[in-house]
Amino acid sequence: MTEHKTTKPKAALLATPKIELFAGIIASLIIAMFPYVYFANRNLELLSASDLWISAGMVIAHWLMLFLINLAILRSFEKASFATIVAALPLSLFHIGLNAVQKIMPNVHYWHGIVLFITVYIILLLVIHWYLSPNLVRKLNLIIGGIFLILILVNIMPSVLHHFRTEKADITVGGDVFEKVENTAISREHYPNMYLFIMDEFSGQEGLERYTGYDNQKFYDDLEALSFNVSKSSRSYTLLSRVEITNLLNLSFLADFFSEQERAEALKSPYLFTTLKAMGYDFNLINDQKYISIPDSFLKYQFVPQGLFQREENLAKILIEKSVYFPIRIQPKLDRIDIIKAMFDYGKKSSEIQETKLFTLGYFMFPHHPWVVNEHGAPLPESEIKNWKNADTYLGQLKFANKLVLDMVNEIIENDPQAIIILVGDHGYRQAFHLEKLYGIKMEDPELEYFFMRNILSAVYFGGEKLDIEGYSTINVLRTIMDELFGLGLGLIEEAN
Amino acid sequence: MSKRIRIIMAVALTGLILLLFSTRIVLLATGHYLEKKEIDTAIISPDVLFNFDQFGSTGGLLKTYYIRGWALNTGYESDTEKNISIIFKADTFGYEIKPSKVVRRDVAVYYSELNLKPEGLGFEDTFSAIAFKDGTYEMFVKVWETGQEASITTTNRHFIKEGSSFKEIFEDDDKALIDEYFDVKNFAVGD
Repeated sequence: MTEHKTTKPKAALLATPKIELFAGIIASLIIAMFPYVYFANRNLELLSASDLWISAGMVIAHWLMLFLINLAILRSFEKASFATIVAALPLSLFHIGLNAVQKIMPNVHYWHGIVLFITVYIILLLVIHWYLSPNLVRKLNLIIGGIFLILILVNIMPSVLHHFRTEKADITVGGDVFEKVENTAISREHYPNMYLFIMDEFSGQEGLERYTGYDNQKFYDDLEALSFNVSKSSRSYTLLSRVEITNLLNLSFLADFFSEQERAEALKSPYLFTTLKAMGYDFNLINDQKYISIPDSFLKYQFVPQGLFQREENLAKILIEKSVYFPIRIQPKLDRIDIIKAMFDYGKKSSEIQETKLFTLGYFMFPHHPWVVNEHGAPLPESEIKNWKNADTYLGQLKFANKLVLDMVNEIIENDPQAIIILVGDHGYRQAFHLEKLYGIKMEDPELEYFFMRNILSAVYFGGEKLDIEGYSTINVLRTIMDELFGLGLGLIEEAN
Repeated sequence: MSKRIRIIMAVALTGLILLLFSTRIVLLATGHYLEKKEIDTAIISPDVLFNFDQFGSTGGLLKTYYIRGWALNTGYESDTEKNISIIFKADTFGYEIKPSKVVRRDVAVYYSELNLKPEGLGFEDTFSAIAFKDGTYEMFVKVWETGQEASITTTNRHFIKEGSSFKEIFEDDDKALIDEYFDVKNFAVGD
């Protein structure tokens, strides 16, 4: 290779056609964006629009930072672009590489990877600076950029085609709610506080017995002793939280699979919220993982227990976990336990906020994984955090959830005996589904397993009164309560069985 | 050899040296470094009582473990300063962890006949499994009053460190005995 002295960078800059300079910079951006496109494309149905924007912003900011550092060191746009190309992927996929190396050499740790990366990176910067001509670097930028552009197009093409082929669901919710509310004869001053607590992955009795062999009767007995009405045979309509929660907040089964735009549209003014708002209710949201995307304009109070990087299911988290920055996601599991306890504490305190007309919606990603505690609340080994093979891991966290739930509702009833408290799971324990998805362990009778995996917790405290909810889906439980309280005449929809 | 090649080789050499010593540097910087030493555990005292309320992985880059419990010697004087350490011993060497002291009124109340103050009866700490050399370890509890001779007892718990994995060894027959042993005094939560 020929040595090139790096004199007169300004002159070299001016001599380079602007279009090639620009193409080189864009090439480095394309490569930096590749992991984002890849992982976004594979998790598209689980992501919200804000996820996509936040993650894209994060990746672009990271690329810009790298580019500016390289520019400051190399003082050449094309060489800075090339150095960014070289660094972007190892940084973005650092954790995947480290895991692969650790399988062969288990004593290799994060810091070894960092030292190795920095050493190789410095050597590469020196080589680029001293030995590569701007002309060669320009060509390499364009070639590598072109290859990755093709890879990106190949990745996104199936999703784009699918998007155009899929018919849009007709989302018309709300209807004549305001008229109905105006016609109700119940005195507005006496509307009770309502609490809807959605416990993610909280299995009902039947599903729990099938997958763990555990009889949770004591928990149901304790709920009944607190005057709860319980249903052991209730089912969700789907196994997907985003779909189920969107449906139940609209009190109807809209579609079995939304596009992101449709889901976002359906949550802009969910029927349950618009109805209750028209009745004069205020809203209080406990938003674990900031999972519920109802507009803030609805909310008078909100409790978001964690920041972006502590959330469990979003694209930013996926990208960070694959990258060199993954240690910021490794929170000691005790943090998660504290977060869970803080949410339940806030749930209790919600009964002290207003005497009437407050609707508290609590979404708890619990006893959903990460499985971090046993039945006594003591931390589990790290290996159990997402261990679908061991049903006892889930069961331990569910038993701990039993205690936290009982403790919370007990205090709410003490403070607010006229309350309406609705305890539901958004779906049951999905072990069979995950064993097939993650380990290829086939379900012998998928329909039967889906039946049991959709068996959910369902219990209602109706101001201490009786209410028959046996076998009702959460949507029908909510419709029954709305009819009983406000005489809306919503009736029931087809059951989830 | 040109100056440029010499610079590149110097960078590579520095990287290599850092690579070799990085684990030790990280452990020292985070306070998790453990000195390998010879520890005599030949004399086991029957007067040492203990319990681990919690012993579990908290994970992270350093693969830390959280321990919490209590330990005492039935021959303690009431007003002395009490100390506890946890020992992991391999065949020829061991590591001694000196955890933070915790006030345990529940233990003092339970053993009221010993007339002990609750200060220093409990312990709590995290340690990094990375600080251990590969091998099989037996865990001991060491207690002593400041200025007095220490007493040691075995927990009958064995661990294996292999690469990045640090696991307790259970043999089915022994496990039942161990469970029975720990069931003798099992407090739910401390202060």
